[in-house]
Amino acid sequence: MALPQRNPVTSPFDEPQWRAVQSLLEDLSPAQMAWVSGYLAGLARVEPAPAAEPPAAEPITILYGSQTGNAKSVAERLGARALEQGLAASVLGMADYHPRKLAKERWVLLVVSTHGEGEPPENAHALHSFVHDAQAPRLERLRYAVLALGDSSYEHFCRTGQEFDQRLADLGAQRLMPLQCCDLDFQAEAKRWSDGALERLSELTTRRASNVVALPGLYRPAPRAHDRDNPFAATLLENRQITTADAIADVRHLALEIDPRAVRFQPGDALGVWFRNDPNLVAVLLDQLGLDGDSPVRLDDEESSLHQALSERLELTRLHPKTLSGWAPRASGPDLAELAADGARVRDWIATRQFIDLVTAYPAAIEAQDLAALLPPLTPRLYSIASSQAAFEDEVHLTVSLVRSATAGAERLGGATGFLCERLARGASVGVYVVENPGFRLPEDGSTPVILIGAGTGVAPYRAFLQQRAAHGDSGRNWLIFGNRHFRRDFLYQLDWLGHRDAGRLNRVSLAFSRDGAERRYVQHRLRDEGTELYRWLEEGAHLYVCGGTAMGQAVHAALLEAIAAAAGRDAAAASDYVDNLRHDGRYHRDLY
Amino acid sequence: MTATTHPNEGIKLRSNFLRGTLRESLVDELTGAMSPEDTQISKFHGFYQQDDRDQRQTRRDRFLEPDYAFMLRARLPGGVCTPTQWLAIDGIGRELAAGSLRLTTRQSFQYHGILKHRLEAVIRGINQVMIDSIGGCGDVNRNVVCNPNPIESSLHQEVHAWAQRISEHLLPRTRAYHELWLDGERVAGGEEVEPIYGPTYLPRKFKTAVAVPPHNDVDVYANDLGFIAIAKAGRLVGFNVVAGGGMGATHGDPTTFPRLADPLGFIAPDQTLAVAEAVVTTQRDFGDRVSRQHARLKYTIERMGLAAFRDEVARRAGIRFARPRRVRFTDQGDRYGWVKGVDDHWHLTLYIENGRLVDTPRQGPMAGLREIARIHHGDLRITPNQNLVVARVPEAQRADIEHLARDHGLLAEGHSMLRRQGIACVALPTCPLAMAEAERYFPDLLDQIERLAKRHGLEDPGLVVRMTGCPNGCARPYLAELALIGKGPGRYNLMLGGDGIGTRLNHLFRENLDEAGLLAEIDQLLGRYAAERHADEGFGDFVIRAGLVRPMARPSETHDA
Repeated sequence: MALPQRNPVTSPFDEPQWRAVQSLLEDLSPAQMAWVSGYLAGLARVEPAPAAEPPAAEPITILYGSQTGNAKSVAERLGARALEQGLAASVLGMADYHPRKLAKERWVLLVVSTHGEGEPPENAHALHSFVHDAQAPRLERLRYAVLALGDSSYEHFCRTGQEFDQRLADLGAQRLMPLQCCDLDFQAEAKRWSDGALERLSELTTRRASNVVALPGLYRPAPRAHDRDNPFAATLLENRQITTADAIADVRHLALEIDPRAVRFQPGDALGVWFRNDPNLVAVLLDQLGLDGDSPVRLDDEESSLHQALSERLELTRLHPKTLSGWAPRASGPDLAELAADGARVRDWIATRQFIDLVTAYPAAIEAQDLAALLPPLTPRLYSIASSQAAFEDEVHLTVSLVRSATAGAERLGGATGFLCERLARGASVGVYVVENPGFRLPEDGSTPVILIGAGTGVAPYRAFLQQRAAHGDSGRNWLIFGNRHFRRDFLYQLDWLGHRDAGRLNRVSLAFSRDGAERRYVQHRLRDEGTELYRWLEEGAHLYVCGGTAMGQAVHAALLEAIAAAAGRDAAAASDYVDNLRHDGRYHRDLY
Repeated sequence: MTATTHPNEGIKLRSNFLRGTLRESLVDELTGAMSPEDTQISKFHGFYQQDDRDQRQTRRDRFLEPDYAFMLRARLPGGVCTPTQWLAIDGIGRELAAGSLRLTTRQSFQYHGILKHRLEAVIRGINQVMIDSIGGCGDVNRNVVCNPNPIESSLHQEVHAWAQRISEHLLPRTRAYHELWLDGERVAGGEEVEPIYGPTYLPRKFKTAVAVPPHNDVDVYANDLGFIAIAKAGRLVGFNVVAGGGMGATHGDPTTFPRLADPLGFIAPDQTLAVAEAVVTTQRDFGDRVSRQHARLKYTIERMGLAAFRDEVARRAGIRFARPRRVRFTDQGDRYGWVKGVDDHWHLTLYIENGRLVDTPRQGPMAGLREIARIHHGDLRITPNQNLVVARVPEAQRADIEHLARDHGLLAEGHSMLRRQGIACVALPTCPLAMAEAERYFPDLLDQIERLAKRHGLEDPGLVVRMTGCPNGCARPYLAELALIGKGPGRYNLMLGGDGIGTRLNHLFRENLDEAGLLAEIDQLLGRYAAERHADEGFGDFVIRAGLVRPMARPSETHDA
């Protein structure tokens, strides 16, 4: 947040006090700020101390496990509302919560997403393994509820939420409410669940006149911060391919212009991008289905034309299993019904296809409103930000690999990547918002060494990291471990890395180009090769970062364990403890997708 | 070393006898390049850093460094190799060097497009068949060229042995090459010395040729040091020694010029190495180490005067030069097709356009040579005109070899004399010095010249045409009857007046012509040649007789139109 300047005449603070306040507030989210202002207002009112303490309000803990920021935003909104109602709620990321406290808690709400192949999000790891440990404490006192976020196109839909929900019950805790699983269109269900939870807690817990004052207007500071529902209109400044013409992937470097007063982010954060579907695709679809684009449809109680809904509101490029199963009864012939009945085959089929491919392969008739109901809502996509505001204050850089496939005969572009890379004209605008990624930040101490492991576009945040470290003149050593396919074709941002090395900032570089040699070598192989050096850096306090696909993250994790075991001359269990400690100390950061 | 010496002198001195920081440069993964100093040192190991100049700007826009790759040039004295060696050379080209190789005008082969991490494999690969790349480039004696004369086989053997001995004698003695590429061991003890070169080697490159008259395919006068074999009844009796030739010049700088070698005198065979060494050490001590543009031996001789230079060499070699013997040259090109040697073996000279061999999926010259090497038991000889001789074929195998050669388009038949005699350098996009196209454009140019010649009733004018992308002269353009020398993109200087046997320099005729201008001039020249030439008069001789260009009085006149 940009903080206002202190006016020396009118300010109640002296300069050192003001600096302390500023440093305290620097990293707070708008919701946290609102809470603090209420809290301080409450403190200021509590004087003189009343003779008799009112009965203490029972503390309620709201924990979130979040990767893309959705669970966090639900938890924060819930926390703010709980405070407004006089409940003593506090909102914490699972990584900031001490797991052993759980045994002493009475009221806990969990909002947690599921990641990749059914794994907990990065900041939920520690708590998740704590409760699943054979030695986990009994939780007879605890009453809880779980809101699970997920994406039903994945095999393990909401698995982490289910696991928490089941395991807490197994440990003797009692549910306040049944588990609620939410799909990509989570907003409405999350709101309903939050309403229910607040109602239950109001009935059951001791409430009191809150010592936090609800300050009207502060929860929605004006102008309202930009978020998923209130994106900032950024302007495309630059779109250039940064892989060669003969590279396997077409990767683009995009620069978007933003207003630095309205959009602030830290290296490691992601940018949410709202996109519009390809007008040609919409036209072809309407044509193939024989539908009129002007037909009115209702979406979430809003009316729009079918054309507009297909362009801006509905998901056309990620084919959802539910869409497939909803389409099956309409299409003639047994093929599709058979396919729809086999989950594994469905996942396989939809992986490389879009809705248009389904319609083309299995033609059927559908009404406009039914179509609108069949398609999932369009959701924004997140991209790791590849620049630092310390270097480019009014720009956001993204590294986007254009999704292009031709599985079903015709060329298909990814929805968001096609929009960003091929359809968005220079000077045109796109709705964006910052998704904070507090688990993936540079160490506060600029002299701390960092090891940056990334594959493909997973290198993007490290460009931001090094820009930031360069701008701040940080002295910490930097080690980049990067992998892609070909040195000559897709060494993303090679000139940046060369520049950092010439400036003495990039102290070590390890590369793995999988298609350059006879055998396929990836970053995890480099990690094993350089285990001794890796261990030395870690012993010297280095933070370790991993960014890239989930499979790569797992392979890197396994290699890390092996490398540490070998370098430290210890067994697998000790290596595993070592890595757990890294995670616990906030020195093992992962951003996997 | 004074403060004014050229920076390269410091690089050589600091390199610890050609080690530099090559090892560090090789393991640096972040870049496909070497450190700037190492790019100078690498030349002594036979390779050069290049990049695809067509790609530079595009790659910079993509946050990518230039597309660096290396050109490696082997040392192959006299151009002779065995079929087994050829198969190894071919395999390495296909696997490690972008699927191609080139025969050079110095009778060697070179690879382009070697990525840094493959250099070691390439050098180890050629080493397995006893070939190295020491001094392929750099400020030392380069590959010694020698007429591949297959007919007089015993004389060739004798002369070729001298070419090899000269090459070995003038090799750097440092172990750096072996240490870095082969056994990796640093031999303990003993300061390293270079008895001939010293720690800063020569001021500039140094080229040596051995000619066997009447053939001047090696262009002996274009070399720093030339040995012209004098034979009597098929036995070598000695050499005429010539020195101070060289092609390179800088556009518009009259202090630089191509120059023909001057005669020093006749020597007996057993004086060869002493004379070679004396010429090299004289150049080492008297050559210009301040300006690399004036560092070749030709400028040293111009400065010292020929008599003083000759005396210095004789003193150092401990010999006296006898009066040079009379020699007569008749040609500077190759004799294509089959010839029979005195020992009854057959020899087939193949035609390889621009010396370029590319691995294609279909039949082609590279595959053809591979097939021939698989059945051939004699040797293979790269010519100074970038062609190849399949030498010492017994009568019984002639038909098989010819069959393979024809199938893969390796025979000269069907190619005009113009084409068979032409040479172009590599130039764009690989060569860092190129100012204009050469090799890529040359075949088109020859088409045009042939078309124009036909218009004037000249069926196949056998003139020697050469083309380079810059004035440094890799294709020895200043000895051609007609030459184009790159001046800028699409612009060339037109040179006329070589004698077709490599003993007379040509002369600037028109400057800075574009393609239309060039073709108009050539059209006119061919028209006059067709109408006015005498019987058997070559094109180069004609342009001089007709007064179109003057024969040169001083070398620096190259620049005068």
